[in-house]
Amino acid sequence: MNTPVVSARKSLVAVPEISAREVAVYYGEKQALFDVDLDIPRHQVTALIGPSGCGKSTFLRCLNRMNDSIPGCNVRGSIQFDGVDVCDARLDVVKLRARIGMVFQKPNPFPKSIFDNVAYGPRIHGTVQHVKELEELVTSCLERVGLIDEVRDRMHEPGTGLSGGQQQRLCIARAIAVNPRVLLLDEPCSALDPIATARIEQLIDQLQQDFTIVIVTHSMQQAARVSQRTAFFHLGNLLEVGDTEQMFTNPRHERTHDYITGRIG
Amino acid sequence: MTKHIVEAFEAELERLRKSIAEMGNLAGQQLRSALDAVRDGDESLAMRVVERDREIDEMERRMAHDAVTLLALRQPMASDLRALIAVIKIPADLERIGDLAKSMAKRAPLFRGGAPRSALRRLTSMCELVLDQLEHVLGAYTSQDADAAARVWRQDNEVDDWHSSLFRELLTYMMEDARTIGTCTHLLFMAKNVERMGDHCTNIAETTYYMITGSPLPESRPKGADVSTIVLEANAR
Repeated sequence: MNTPVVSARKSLVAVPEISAREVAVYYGEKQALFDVDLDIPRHQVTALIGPSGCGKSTFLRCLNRMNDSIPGCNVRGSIQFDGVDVCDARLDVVKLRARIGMVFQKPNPFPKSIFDNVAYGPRIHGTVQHVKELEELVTSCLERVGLIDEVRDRMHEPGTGLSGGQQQRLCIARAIAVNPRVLLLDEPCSALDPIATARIEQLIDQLQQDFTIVIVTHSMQQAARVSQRTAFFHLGNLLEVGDTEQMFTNPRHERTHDYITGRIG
Repeated sequence: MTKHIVEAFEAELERLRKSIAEMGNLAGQQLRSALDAVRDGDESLAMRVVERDREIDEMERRMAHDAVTLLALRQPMASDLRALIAVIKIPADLERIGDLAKSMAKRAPLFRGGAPRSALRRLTSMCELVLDQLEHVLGAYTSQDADAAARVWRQDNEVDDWHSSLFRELLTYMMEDARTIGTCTHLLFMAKNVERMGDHCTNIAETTYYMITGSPLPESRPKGADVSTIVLEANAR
């Protein structure tokens, strides 16, 4: 069971949306991520799991350059996506983030109306020409996240007035409004109750038909429920990656086993 | 293996593991008593076997309940999940072994007048073999020994061979003397019961192997002689 590193073959897939190679991250002198090779398969849900400080969120944030805003953070390696290297300093990060959207742990709607929250991205990217078109787009995004019936009559009320679960779905609607290829979810349900969590998980199931999804979660059960592939990080290393079914019934690496079964490792 | 951070979970799993060993021992005792009752035509021992079967049934119900509770409350993963699946499956096999022992014991009164000695000897040997298998598979379960479980699984063909040779012998008696047909038919049923117990031991071996390794044993295992192909050839004699 105690194979020391993830085998290269297992971390690669036939149709990757994103291919990370030798990704290393430093916070100043301190190395937080060590040479991660990982393919993210297209139109699947990949769960990143591991104890706090293992590097899973750091890796997730590499995928759309969120680490840029952290002073002293330095990313090496390559992350191939849609014919470009995400790590390339010349890349237009705003455009990249329209293709690789992100939803955070704490719902963070803009202090604007529900409508304007969803319309924000299409407006700044100029992806729609007419008001009617924008209205249709906003409605369809709210429909896709299952929110439309709850907000139809208060589209112009503030997004912050919604419940936590509704706010999170609003944030997902905002992310998909610019038609991204990939959605990054960083513990999207950790502030939600079980019903709101179930709604988000149902939404993840639906969205994977159109998007590639990467989710960071501390809940093993959630990783097992929503993902097809699971990657286990430990102390900045990707220790094991495999089909979720195998990872949760018969993990190969002892540390994965100890982590998912709640043992002292 | 390292221990769980939540000690209560560790303790609950350990208690269930012990219950399996206990239940397995009881099933083995039941088979031994059933055999003794048949050999000695001991009706009161047979009655005790029938009564004790309830204890096994109750153990199975309790363990199934406890396993479902742990699944719901602890939501186990990986080896813990496989351990709980084993706690659901193995008692079901042990409970069937208990039933088959009971069914054997119920026939004891029919043997007060004795039975063909050689057939009883063979039946005894068959029972001893199954008791060995049961003991070894429970040992494999307790000591988490996948190789030992695989050995039990491979050895079931010996039980099949004994069953087949007893089948032939009983057929011969019945052809030679029609008055033995009643007794011999009951012996045939008992032999079949013991053969089924052997199969349940191999099921337990499969479950144990999967529990330990996370992989199933291969689909086909060595098979012994198959009584379903033995034909009555009175004219050939």
